[in-house]
Amino acid sequence: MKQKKGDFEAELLARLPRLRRFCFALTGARHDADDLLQATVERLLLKRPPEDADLTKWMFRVCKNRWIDEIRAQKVRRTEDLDEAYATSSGGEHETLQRLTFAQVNTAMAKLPDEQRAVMSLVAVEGYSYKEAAEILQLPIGTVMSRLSRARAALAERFEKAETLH
Amino acid sequence: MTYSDEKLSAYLDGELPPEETAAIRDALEKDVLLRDRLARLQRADAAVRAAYGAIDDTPLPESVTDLLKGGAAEKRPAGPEGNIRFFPAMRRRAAAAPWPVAIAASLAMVVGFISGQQLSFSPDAPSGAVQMARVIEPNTPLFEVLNRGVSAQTHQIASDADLRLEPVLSFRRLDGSYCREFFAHDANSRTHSVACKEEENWIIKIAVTTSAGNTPEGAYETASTAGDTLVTDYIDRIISGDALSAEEEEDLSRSDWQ
Repeated sequence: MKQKKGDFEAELLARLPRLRRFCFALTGARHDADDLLQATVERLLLKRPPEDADLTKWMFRVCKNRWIDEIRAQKVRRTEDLDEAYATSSGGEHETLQRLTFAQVNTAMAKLPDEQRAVMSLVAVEGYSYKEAAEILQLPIGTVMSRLSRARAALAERFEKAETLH
Repeated sequence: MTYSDEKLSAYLDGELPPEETAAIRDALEKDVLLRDRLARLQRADAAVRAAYGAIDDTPLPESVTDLLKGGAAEKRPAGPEGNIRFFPAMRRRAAAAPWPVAIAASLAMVVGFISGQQLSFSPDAPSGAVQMARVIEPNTPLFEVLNRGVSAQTHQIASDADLRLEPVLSFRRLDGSYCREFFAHDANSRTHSVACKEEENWIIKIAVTTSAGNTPEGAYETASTAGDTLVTDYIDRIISGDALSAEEEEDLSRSDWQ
């Protein structure tokens, strides 16, 4: 089916909030998320979707690939920033209802291997099914399932540690 | 029978076949340690979802929307999307405030438990499995209540006599889409939740379930209050303007919340 000019942009625009949440879950910083969003949209406009592609899945896949390219270029700087963020993220000793700060959640996510972070972002944040996540990431469903479970267990452990630091 | 984290995790997502889902549900009823392990995983999800969902409270960057709006304007020269107004400064909370995503597990407050188990039973799914309700698809009972149910009235779910749904109010979000706050009650628990219409589905943005079982005296009320605060804080962060009037709600319900 051939798309009229303008339809494609409107469809992208409607999906932008979801894509942006994904960018934020991947990068962990608002300005990085918006940079990744922009880079992704530029790429999408340049490439246009393959004939038989599901637009939503295709745009998430392009986004994830842009992110992987970007972090490979920046890996060293990022790790240093994160250690510092971790060191300053404890505090709030006297709270009766235990809380996690954004920094604690974000630091724990950043310590996940990239592929686990991507699966966590698609399934836990965006609510994709395992089948959909597998199609976006081009992985077997079993791999999605095991990465997700490792990510959740690691996060749960780090959140508990973060809380006992209080 | 012991279950691996991988099985529990897949259970959480509604990705197991019906017989395994039923077996784990039975085991959860009997095994407090298993419940704790499941709650840990759910909590990890809830924290991550709340943390990154928060970017919805700021408008999309113009540098990106401008790339797309030229084409979109050809298709939709007029309409509500053209008049979206943002009030981020009014609604943003102090940047230094701690993130209210964590929940005292000892109060048996489990995020998303009901929404994961009951609210979106989907008989159409190939496996017949219970689907995770983060995405509420058309032709499910909860979808119908969110789409058509009048606020401040109680709606019974025909397929589940114990379950009552009560939309509280509807509002417009900063990005121009629409959301509804609602309660779901069953015999032992109460879920306070917000769902937003995104594309053709309703998406659960936050859901806090307070269970009456296994809580010390007085803790249920404490947990309910803490949970309600999480949900109302969340609404404060994403709402644009005031809650919708009954007339506005009726109009939107007719136009499928577009």
